[in-house]
Amino acid sequence: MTANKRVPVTVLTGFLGSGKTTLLNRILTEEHGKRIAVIENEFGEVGVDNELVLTADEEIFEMNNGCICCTVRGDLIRILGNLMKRKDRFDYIMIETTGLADPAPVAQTFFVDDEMKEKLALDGIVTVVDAKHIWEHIDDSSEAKEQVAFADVILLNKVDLVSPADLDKLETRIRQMNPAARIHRTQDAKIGMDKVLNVGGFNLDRALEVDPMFLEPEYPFEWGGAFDLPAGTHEFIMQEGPDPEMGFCLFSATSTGFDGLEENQMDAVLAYSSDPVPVEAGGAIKPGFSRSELRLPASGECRFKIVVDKPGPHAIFTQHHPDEFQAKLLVAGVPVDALSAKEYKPDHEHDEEVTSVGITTPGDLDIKKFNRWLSELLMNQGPDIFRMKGVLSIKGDENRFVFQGVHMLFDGRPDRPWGTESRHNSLIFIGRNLDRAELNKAFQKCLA
Amino acid sequence: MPRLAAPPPLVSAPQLRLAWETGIGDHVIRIVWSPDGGLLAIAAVSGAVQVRNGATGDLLCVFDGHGFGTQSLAWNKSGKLLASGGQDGMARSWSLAEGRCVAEFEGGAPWVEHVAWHPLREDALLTAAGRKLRYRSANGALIREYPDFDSTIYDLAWQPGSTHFAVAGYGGIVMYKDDAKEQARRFDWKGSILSFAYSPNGNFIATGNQDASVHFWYRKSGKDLQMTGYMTKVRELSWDAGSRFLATGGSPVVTVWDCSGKGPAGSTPAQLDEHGVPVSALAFQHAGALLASGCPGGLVCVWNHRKPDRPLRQARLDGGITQLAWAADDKKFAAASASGAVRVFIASEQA
Repeated sequence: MTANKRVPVTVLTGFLGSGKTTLLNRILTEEHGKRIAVIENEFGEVGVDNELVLTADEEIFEMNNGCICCTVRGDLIRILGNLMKRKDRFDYIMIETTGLADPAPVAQTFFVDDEMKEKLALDGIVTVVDAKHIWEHIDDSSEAKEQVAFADVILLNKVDLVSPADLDKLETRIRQMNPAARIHRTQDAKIGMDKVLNVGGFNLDRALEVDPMFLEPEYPFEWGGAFDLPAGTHEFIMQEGPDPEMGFCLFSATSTGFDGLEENQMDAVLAYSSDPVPVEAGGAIKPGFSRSELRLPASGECRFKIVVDKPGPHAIFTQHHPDEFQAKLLVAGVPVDALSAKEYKPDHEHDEEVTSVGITTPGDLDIKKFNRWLSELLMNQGPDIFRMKGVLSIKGDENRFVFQGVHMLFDGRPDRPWGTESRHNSLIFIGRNLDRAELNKAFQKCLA
Repeated sequence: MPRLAAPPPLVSAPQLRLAWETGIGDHVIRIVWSPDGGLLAIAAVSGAVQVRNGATGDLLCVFDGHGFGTQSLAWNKSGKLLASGGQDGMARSWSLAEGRCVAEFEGGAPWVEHVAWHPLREDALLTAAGRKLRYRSANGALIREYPDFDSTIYDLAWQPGSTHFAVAGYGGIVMYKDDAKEQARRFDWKGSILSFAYSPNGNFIATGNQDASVHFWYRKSGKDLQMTGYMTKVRELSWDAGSRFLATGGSPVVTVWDCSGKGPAGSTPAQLDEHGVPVSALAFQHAGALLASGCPGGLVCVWNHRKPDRPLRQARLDGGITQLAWAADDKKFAAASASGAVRVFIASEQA
């Protein structure tokens, strides 16, 4: 059987009462010309032709070797295996999970079991969220977090029951957990079928369709600026601001252009991952890949000395936007503006257990180093990495390399040539307890 | 100039001799010979069950089977009753003489995946549906309901010629005697068993597993060992008549373990390599030494596993092989496919 004949499978997750069944019924109604088989959980209540609705009992098979990536849903293998023997072929298979189901074994079933892999293609995981009641679960339910983190498509349902402001708050929160998912706001799960079917969530060809939004990584700083600094002692002046201290990083840059900033921002991420060096008001800062922590006095203006030995392009990255402190750089006593500057999406530090780490960096990867790092990472942190996807630039290969994965399962292959597009690496990890700085640092080390 | 090597000779085993063939137009999910070899029952995945004359292939009877699909089939000891289980949650007993269903009973879950008649009694059978295990008389009266199994029951079989039986699934194997509700024995194993097979003498139990392994128990001592390294999950298991050789699938190569002496631990199994894709069916003769194998490519091979270089005979069916079964006299065997082809072949000692 050829790959394109595989029957697409959509997995519907979401808490009880979120509107999963409403969505399922809507799909069955709107796609009535198609033959859709439904695998329901034991609490399902889909009212269609019995032959097309089968009940599953969520039987998770853990393998003797204890490897989490081998955890599969035995009930699905059994039911789908039988279904695929039938002469009447299905156009689509929908799997409705229970509200408390872990999406990982469901997804893995389609990659681990050879029979499933051959006949079926997991198209996407659609998670329905009750926009009003999700707040009761999102903080302490690992199931709710996992369902959000695993999703390709998230419906914020029941929008009629919440204020627009609360909805914005919810969407922001969910974006932090899973920036790769497409989020739609719905009432009564009303949505276009093309938004939930054929989404290609596990299709490598479409792995980066949501690019570049989801790949906009978060940074430990909010602002970066490039300056051309002469040798000498300059000054950084700050007023009172929202915080009594601020992270600050200064180093010699490749250029003062915008490109230079982009080239240097990863160095800044690394610098920010080092232990902060406290600098009291009046103290001196020298260029280098370290993080200074500027200590502001209780009130009033303060000044820090910037000591430059070698003239040339320099980059400054600040934890907060300088405007928040009315901060200025004085060169020979005269305030100067950055020759190019960039604002960064701040790193949200509300200790989200489930979160994402995006890495975007120019340059080519040393394939050996990258392989070694990734296999080590998946071996050690695989259980905590729910999903990952991205595009890589591999040294010596004219083609883009695309990949995606679930826990320790990795699927990747060369894609189209880079052509005129500038070579770069963009990848995202979604998971639990991810160490942003560490992942960035380790990835940088894989560059050729 | 490099010399051109002669192409390797196209080794192709002689063709199997055909006794008769038919087509049912649907995936064949089960075939079962009656105990005397006179009848062949054929179940389609969509439900209907045909009974044919084993010698000629003449259609004798068609039973409705199960509305949403038939899952299992078994003849009773005398061959007068055929039991079936299906996706309508029911098990049924069919009388060939009367040409109709004579009893029907609920399995206790949406799918009745296994039915198995008592090997020594005429009128009692087991059904397994989901976690439910029930023991009934042929008229449907419930003799005993067993406590729910820990998981879905993946396989169920009587120990050959005995009053003991076992069920297997995720978590291990539980054994019972036919006169008690209490477990007679249990082998715990944290893994997912897909199929199991008693050796004919009852000394060994082998399981085929989801994690691409075969597990093996000495029934009396409970000592066990595991054979790993299969390419894919293992469902295909068949013991030879002498309870010495166990043929296993889970790979394009059929692996035959020798369980004599200290084996199979540390022994090198025979490897029968002809199919090219993972085999889907295996069957040793009841008394003889021949082994039949089939694969999704539609190829059927008959082997003497002591001469593993090449099969003795082969044939190709339309559609992947789903079932292989030897008739009681070992002279005929039936092969069936996913496209609905059913062929009965004649095999002698030389195949």
